[in-house]
Amino acid sequence: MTSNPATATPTIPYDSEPSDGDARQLVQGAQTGLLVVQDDVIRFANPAFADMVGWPMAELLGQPHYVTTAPEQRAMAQSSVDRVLGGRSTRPGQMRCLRRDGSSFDARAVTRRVEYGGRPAVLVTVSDTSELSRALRGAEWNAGMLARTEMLCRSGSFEILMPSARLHVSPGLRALAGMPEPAEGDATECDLDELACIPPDERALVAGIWRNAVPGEPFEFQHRLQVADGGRLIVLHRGVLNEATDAAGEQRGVAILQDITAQREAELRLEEVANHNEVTGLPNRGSFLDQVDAATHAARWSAGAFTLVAIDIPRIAEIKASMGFGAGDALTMSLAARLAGACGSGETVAQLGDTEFVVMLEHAEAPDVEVIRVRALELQATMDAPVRLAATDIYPRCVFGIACFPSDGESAAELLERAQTARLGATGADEGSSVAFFRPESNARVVRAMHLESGLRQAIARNELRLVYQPQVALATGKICGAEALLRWNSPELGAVSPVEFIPIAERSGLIGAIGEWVMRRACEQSAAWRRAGLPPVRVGVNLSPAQLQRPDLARQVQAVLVETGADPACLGIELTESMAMADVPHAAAVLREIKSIGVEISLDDFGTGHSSLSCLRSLPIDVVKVDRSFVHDVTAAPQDVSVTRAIITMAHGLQMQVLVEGVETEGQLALLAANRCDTIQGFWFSPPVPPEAFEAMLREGKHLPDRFVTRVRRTHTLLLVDDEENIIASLKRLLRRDGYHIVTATSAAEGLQRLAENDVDVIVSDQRMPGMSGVEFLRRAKDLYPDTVRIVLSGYTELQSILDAINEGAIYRFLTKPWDDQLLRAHIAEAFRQKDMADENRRLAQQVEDANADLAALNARLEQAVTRQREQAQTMAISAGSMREVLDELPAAVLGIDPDGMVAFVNREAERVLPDAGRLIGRLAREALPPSVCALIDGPGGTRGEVTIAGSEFRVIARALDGSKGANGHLVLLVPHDVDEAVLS
Amino acid sequence: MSAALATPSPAATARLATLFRGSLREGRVHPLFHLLQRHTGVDGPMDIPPAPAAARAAERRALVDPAVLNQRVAELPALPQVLLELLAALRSDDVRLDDCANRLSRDLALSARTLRLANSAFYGVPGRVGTVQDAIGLLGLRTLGSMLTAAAVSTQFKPPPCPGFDFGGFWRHAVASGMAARAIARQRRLDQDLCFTAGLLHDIGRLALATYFPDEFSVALAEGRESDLPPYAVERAVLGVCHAEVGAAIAAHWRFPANVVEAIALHHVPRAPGDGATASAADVVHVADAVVHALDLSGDPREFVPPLALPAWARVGLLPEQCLALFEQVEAGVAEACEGLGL
Repeated sequence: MTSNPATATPTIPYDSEPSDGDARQLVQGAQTGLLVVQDDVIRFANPAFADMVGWPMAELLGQPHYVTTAPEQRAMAQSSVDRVLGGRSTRPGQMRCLRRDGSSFDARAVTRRVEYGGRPAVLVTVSDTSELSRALRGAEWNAGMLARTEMLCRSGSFEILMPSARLHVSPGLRALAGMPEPAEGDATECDLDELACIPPDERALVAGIWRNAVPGEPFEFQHRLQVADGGRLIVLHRGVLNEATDAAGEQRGVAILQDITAQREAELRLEEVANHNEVTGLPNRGSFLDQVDAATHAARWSAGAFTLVAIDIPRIAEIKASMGFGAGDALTMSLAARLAGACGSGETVAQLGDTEFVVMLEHAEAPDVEVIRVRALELQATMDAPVRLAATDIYPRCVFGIACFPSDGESAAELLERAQTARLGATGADEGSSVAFFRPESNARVVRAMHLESGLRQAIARNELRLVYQPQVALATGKICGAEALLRWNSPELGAVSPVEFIPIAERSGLIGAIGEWVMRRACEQSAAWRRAGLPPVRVGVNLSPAQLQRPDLARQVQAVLVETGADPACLGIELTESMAMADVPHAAAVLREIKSIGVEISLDDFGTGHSSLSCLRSLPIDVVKVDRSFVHDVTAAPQDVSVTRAIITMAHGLQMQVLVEGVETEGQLALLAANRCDTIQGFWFSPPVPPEAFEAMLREGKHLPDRFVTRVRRTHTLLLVDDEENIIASLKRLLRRDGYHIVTATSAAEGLQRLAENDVDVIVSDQRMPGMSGVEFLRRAKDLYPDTVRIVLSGYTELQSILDAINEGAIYRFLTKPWDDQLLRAHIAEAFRQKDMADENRRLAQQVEDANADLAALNARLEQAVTRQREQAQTMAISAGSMREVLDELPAAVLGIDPDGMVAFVNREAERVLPDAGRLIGRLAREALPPSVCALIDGPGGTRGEVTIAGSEFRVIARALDGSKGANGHLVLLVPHDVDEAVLS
Repeated sequence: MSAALATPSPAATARLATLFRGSLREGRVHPLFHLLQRHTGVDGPMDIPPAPAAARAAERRALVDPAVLNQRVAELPALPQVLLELLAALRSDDVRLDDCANRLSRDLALSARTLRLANSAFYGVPGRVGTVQDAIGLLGLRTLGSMLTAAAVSTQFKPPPCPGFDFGGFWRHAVASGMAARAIARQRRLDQDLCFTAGLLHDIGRLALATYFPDEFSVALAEGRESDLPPYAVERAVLGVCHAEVGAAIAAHWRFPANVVEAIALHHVPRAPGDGATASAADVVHVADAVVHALDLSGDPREFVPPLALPAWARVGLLPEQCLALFEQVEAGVAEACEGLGL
């Protein structure tokens, strides 16, 4: 309290002692209760005390002093009075006073020893503190409530004085931050700048906000809270600074810190889910578009550029369809991780849909197209590496589409759409490249592709698909032996759509599975129908899609279709391409082996176009290789090309596979194939693919190849005469007609080659000097193409050197001169035919030898097996015959053989003679069939000799264990009639 | 086969569907199915016999203790005709070893008995005599005669007293399986006589069960008829053990060669693929068993062609023409054997 000198009253004297009257007045007027206790009764009380305790003054005086004390404290009050009287000091204390009406109140009492009436007494000063106590209790309750509330709300608070930044932390905050309870006497205050529960790097922020707080205006912000156990929380910090300034010039502030870690995490997760793919965690389309949008703005300002690369992996959809969602997700995740790993800074990865990814490549300046292509190809190489899923290697086969900003579009959505459009164009584009840039015309193609896809989805249900059949002809018989079933689609809206166009779409959209199954079912139904109609059996080949081959239960599916349609497996073939088979050789081998074992033929399509190694090919159960049309050459082709065809055929035969050549379009090709032992042909030359009715008609009328191409038919001898002079040809024909040859003629080398293609020529007689190509050259060519022909030059001019060379290199068999001697010429030509026949026969024999050689290994193995068995048998016989049987049989004593199992295994002749019922012994158990005394000798440890009486005859018995090389062989039991001399046995 | 030329009767079609009902119900092509179609000339759509209303598990159980079986099985029922012919042949002056072997091969019980004796440790080559030819060579004709005389005394010649067990059908199946196995082995250049033995003996477990556990086995047979499940599955459920296991245990106990034991054990469940590409006797017997079931020789109206394990079928690797020839050989062979024995 500050004194105010202006209001002071200087008239009142300052006495050190009041007068008695004044003193009495002071005591009576004091608001504090005073009483004097002497001799344990109340000797004096002032009116304030009497009021307090509700006693009339007159009655109060003389009462025992404890009458105003609550009963439970009376003893304490008494001892306190006694102690004061005893001269000891007491401290002020709380007590509970009792009013006359029985109610009680809290009071503060001070006792002091005084002299009253000349004798010692106790002065008690009592002040009513019930108001204060109530307030205290309220405060305690409030504090407890705060602590519990803070705990429940995961919040804490502190009180702070600014600007000193001294603060007082609530128990809730301590609990939240894991701070230890302050020990008794520790300072409960600390400095905001040193508050340990705020991470050091955020203390300045928190303190700064408080220092700059506007008084009276609440504020809130978030920061982290360091928990003593090492964890960190995120808290919402709400604070307000009071406007009032206290005496020390400080402002009081209060802060509440609420733990919002869980909410914050949920928010983050929500954001994640909203903006990211849930399988891979990559940004999704929405958030990617935001990023692209930002990039377009940035690029406009800085004249930069960026590129979008849309990547589609249809294989993911196929895997989901064939191996389930789990496998599909696993593949997606692994590819997403691969893509994210391959992309560096300035490259943003996102996932657009189940099978689609996109990468944004940002460039500082507009880049060269080649740079982008190279980067895209790098990414493609990374993505296309096989992914191991369970036990299978999956080849992802990604398709890339590229759109660039700003050239291909302005807005984010437009750019993304164009990148996707470009990608859809990629599959159909030039072969081998699956990276495509956006081109304006891609749009039209994509629109058509989308039409096709939606149409294709209904094609099966609407019965718009059908199969046509291209006949396959066996060269050995010339007859139709099979057909390849080819899919056709006639859409009411789109017209006839080429398989080349819709099959890739079916593969991309996953429809290929259903379509493949439809094809197999339809082909089987057709095959069963033909068989029931009594047509000759033909094998219908259906093409397998990669998705079908990946099904582990393909064989079972094929079986089910066969059962349902009633088709014979011998009338079904499946064709797969080399690249499909090579994608996962062990899997393909297992599935195909199963299919083959039910009798379905396996063909390898497009042979020669892939990169299959021979060792892989060997491990697959392939019956037929279909040689691609690009290997089929005409007679006019270079000899090296012809030898490629020949090598493929020889190799396939070497691997015990048949050869079917497809795309045979000319007679020349056919002749060449027939001459080189091709097994089957298919192609326009014989028939294009035809509807089933037309195919059926071909079967009915027995359409077949002309006989001259049929390899197994013995043909007449064919002679080719080549000369540019018509009259020479005419006279030769006249001369040779009588020998019964089939004569074909040509007036030039080119025409001669044509005749060779059309006819199976045995002997060629050619002029040497012809325009265009000389006879020797022509015959050289003929040798390369048809090495089996016998070639003769008939010439009036002797360019000796070239002819000698030709003879030496084997191109010419004989050289004859014009004019000719009729009989000599005829003899020479007849000799040439003999030569040819002999060569043919030799080749046939050579083939037989080759076949026999192929069997030789098997025969050897068989022989070896037989020899081994013979050896064992011989051994068996030797053991039996030599060592035991005969000797034992001839022994003049009865011998029984008992094996380790206790079975009677042997009875010799003597035993059969002397022992009754010996015939029943063999094969029975000794303990059942022999007298117990004999058995005892075998089993028991006691002696090995004994005597026994069987059927009245007495025998000496000797049993001996047989120890063979491989352990115990049982026992030999000798029974000797008693009358035999002892000496025999010793 | 002349049947191929005749118009197939609906009954023949239905019969084929019945034989292969197990595979057809499962939607699987049996590799023999189409070959049999060709063999019998049956063609056209067929109805698959429906499975019994509720595919049920075996309800009754009558367990068999295989250990007890081993101890008890000593004699198995034989055909008296075979024994009498053999004894007569042995008495003749110009008795020939291979003639005896051929006659002996026609009876499962006598063949088993001979092999058991020859594989006795007493003769020093246990587990190595796999054919009756070798066994007779080892034992000698005199001992063979003694054994057969003993057999004539001790063996039962009555069919096993097991209701539902058709001894004649069983016998035909055994002989036919032996012939089929031999024919396949000839194609595949395997040991023909050994494969014959394995084929002949492959169902020895059924005979043992019918002889020594007639009551239990007849329960299993009845369950099999009602549930229409493959016999080995029913046996496992009812008896706790299947005839292949029982047969293999007996064959092992009698010290038959390991590949014969294996063929008996595995004739319903051959080895998995990847176990070598060459066919074993077990593969041959597996295929022979299916072929004989498919040829419907036992006369059992509930005949059931067991599924063919494709890896084994692939290892045996018969071509269609070889199969068709095999069918005719087996049918002719069994007809001849039956005629000779008046069965």
